[in-house]
Amino acid sequence: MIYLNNGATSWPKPPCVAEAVWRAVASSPGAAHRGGIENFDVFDAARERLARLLGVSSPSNIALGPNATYALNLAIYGFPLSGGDTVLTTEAEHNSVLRPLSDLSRRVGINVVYLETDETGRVSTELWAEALERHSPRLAVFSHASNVTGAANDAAALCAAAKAAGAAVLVDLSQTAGFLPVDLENWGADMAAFTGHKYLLGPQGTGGLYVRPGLELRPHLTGGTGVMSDLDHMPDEMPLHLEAGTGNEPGFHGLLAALDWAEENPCDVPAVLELLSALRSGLAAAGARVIAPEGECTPVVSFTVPGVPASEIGYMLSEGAGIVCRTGLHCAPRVFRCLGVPETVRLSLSRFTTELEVEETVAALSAALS
Amino acid sequence: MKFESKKTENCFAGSLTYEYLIPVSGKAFAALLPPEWKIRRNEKLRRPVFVAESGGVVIKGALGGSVLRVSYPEGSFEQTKSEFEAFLGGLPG
Repeated sequence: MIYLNNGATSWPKPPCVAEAVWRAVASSPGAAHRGGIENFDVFDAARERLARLLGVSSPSNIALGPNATYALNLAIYGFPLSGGDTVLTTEAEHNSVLRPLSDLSRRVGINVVYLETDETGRVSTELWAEALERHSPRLAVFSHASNVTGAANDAAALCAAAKAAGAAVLVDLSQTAGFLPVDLENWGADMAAFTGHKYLLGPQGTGGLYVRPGLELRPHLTGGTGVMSDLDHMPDEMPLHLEAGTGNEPGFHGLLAALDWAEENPCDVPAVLELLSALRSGLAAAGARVIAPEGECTPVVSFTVPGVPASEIGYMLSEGAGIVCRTGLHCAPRVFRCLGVPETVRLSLSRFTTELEVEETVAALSAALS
Repeated sequence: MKFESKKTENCFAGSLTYEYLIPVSGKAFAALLPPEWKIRRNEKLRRPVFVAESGGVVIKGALGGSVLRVSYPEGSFEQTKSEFEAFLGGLPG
């Protein structure tokens, strides 16, 4: 098997991840928020590592949860939006942004403005600034990189423009955390959602939301926190304010192990991007129409083959050559009108992808089209 | 021919694709298809596959495997599915 679906969930993981999850499941549960000075709190430890990685000085402003979808829902439903308010977002967003906004539009009456991307899925900083000026949104939401094409946006510039226009800004880091540099405080981001199971190399069921100090969200989910049980509402302090219910302790042990491992073994990003470039060239030479954004990218390539449905290409690659890939809309349906294609085949690499795997993938596409 | 079937999902809300587990190989199944089916075989892949099409129904399968993935046309889903399953059930095996 050649695993090229890292944009969905990365695999393989460093061996220490499974070991850490197993150890946590086999051990007695931690004390969660009630631990004393001698107790190890995996959630706090993960928060500290994540804060370092994301450019955040206050780890307690990272609320942990199961995934980026959960975090984006916390942010979008928790931000104080009322009927008539405008939210600016982009055509490249994932359904985990599009669907909550669509729901609020129907139920609450917010206006949602979708900014077009270029034909590679990237947001123009100039058009973003113009849209901010024209629509005066209360909230602006964008992905750091498209999950369909890998095109990364200039997050610092997009955040700065949003702040200058008086909008709060939410960044979706699902495709970039662990692969591209993230610097939330210097960007001026108000909120940022991340997931543990993609380029952070952690297990599924881990993720979280950064919330700028001073920004108060209404908890989208309320319930037990293990402490302050005599209150009839969620505690005001972060991260408790946004963390209802028992956390995924084994999962966060796994994520913590992955973060520690990645600190000791930094990803050779140029090497991964070199493989991406070779893959793009090889696919194009085999007859594919490759969407190849210039500039900063994640290791994702989307392509089509004129006259052949993406599902058929995907079938031949997966069933005929054992290549795990993804076909269709990739949960980001609106971006396809900008890309000018109805759907794509997506291959996504990781730091563990080899040159041989790229060569075999190109050979498989050539064979599929012969 | 006895078979098991299961609906499979894809990115589209109206997915009309089913998988069929059959007791013969894809190669043997393809040989049983009537002449109106247009069959393309790709034997250059490591695991050779075939695609067969007729009346908007598309069958994909590995020649050496025993799972067929069948997509039905939106306009005549119930009729074409029923006809295909009757055809499949009537095959020897």
